[in-house]
Amino acid sequence: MRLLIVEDTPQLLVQLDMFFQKNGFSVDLADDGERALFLLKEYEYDAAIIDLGLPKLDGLEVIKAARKLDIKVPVLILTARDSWQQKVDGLDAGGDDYLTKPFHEEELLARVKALIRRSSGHASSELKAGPITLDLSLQQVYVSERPLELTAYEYKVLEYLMLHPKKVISKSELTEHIYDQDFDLDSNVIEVFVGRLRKKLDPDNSIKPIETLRGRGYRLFSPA
Amino acid sequence: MRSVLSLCLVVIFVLPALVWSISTAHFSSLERAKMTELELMSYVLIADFDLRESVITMPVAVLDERFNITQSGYHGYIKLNDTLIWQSVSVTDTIEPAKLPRTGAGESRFSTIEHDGETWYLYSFTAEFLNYNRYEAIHFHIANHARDMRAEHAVFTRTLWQSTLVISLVITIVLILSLLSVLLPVRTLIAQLKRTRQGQQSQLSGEFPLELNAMKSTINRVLQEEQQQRERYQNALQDLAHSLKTPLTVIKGDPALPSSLHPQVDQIDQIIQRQLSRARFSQKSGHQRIALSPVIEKVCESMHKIHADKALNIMYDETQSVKYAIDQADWYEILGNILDNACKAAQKRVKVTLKEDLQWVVLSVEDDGQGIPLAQQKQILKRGYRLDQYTEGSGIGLATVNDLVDLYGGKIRFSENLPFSLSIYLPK
Repeated sequence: MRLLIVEDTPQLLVQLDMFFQKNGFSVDLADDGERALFLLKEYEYDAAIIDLGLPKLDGLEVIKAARKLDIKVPVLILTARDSWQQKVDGLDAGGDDYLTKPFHEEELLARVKALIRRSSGHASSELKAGPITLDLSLQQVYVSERPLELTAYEYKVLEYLMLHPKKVISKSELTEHIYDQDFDLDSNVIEVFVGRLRKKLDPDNSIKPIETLRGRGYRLFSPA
Repeated sequence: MRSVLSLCLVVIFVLPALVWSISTAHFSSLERAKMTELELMSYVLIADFDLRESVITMPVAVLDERFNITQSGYHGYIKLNDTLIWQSVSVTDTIEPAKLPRTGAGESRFSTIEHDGETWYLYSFTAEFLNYNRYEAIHFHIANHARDMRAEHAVFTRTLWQSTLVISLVITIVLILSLLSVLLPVRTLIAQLKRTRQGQQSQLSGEFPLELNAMKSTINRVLQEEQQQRERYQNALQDLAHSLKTPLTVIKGDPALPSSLHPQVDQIDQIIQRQLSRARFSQKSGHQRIALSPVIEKVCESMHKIHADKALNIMYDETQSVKYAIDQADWYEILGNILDNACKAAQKRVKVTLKEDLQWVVLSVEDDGQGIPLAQQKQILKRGYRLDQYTEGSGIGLATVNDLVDLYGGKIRFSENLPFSLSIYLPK
């Protein structure tokens, strides 16, 4: 999943970057409001963590501007402004969740994941597609109750597909959400991941969970 | 009070003294006039008197009618040595000659005597007449009873008293009116100050007389400065909070931090939150009345977002449009904390009601959760509930609500049975 973290305190930014990368996210960083808004316009993120007290453009203004441009990314506001009036104002401006500093990192992680899950319409942290179960909080995959080991990127691909089941997902969309902006985008690498995923999920080719639609993309396919 | 006292002094002492001195002056002038009158009358007698070759001639009726009319009140006497040689027709009861004073030649005297139980004014003059080659001293006396003069004086004095009383009444009324014209603006100023204290306005308004206007401007400046100082203080504390929180976050997130220190770091966090949020509280006075419902709706909306995973049914039925003089930030704080707690505890349902009666504005929040154990309820309601240990959940939030509600002179009540509800009562 691709995450944008906006925070003007350098140490905290680095801390959050490392933490979320450790937890399987591709992370883009911004330390002022203008850059944050630019990145939000340029790329599609699965979630954004935004601090309010930012230089150049205040966090609240960034959120309002993004919503005006119909950018629907779920936003978690992370800030020291902790009065309830400020919380409500933040959520009213377009935030989807609010966490005050200082915070427990685990709580932050759980809430970001919950945001992503909810925004793709899933009520619980367990995703199911046929015999495949993906536990978002444990980051564990099961096929017919048996746990399955995947590499980081294989997991990322499967996670994204399972969050958008029955939807056609283009290679470029998948690429954008798997990698952060530093990576060289080569769509063939995706093909490799999908191939390996298929092999692991469906070794005897009976379930056929991932469908390739020529020229369009991939679709997670739950057998009828 | 002082003005009333000085007014009384004037009325009781000064005015009678004034009347007395005018009256006395009048009497003296009356007496002087009387003397002149009697002196002029003596000239009549002197003119009519004739002494020639030891023969005295004096007409019975003289030029001044007052001597001729019986009981006119005027007596005329002429004496040669000690012998009364003539008296006017008007005399009915003769004054004893011994009473008439002796004067030297050319000498005049104005005196009073008692006669017939009354006071009489007496003008005596001695004129010399040539008889042969010798001057004879002839004594002329004009007497007039004081009755008429005294009556005239009495009338004057009475009139003087009457008009003085009227004037002093007018003066009193004018003084009282001018006192009121000073006191009423002062009263208005005091009423304005009361309204400011009660939060119905933030500055004194209205036009006042010059002296009070200066005072009003000064008070307004003081109020403004106090408000600014309060804001500066609050801003300083908020900045402190912010600047403390960020390094604290970095500390908390540092993987190298030994886990034994986590509770301490959390405690610092709690203390910052609690103490600095209390410093953020505004004063009770000086608030405008705000509509309470819109904030409730906004907070409920936020609750939906914050607790989205639980898919709660948060109900708020606005039955009355209630207004209350409370700082908006404080109202947000109360609602946010109570509703957040209710949503955390609830399984499916949270219900919010807002009511008002003659005495109270009542906010009730009901949830279908377990409720708060009695021991913790007592802890929360204790004033100055301190966090000696890190407590999660309803601890700090409701303690903040308790502080706030207490600031406004209100109270918190918990329901006795399930379903659990928390009510806050704000006094009107």
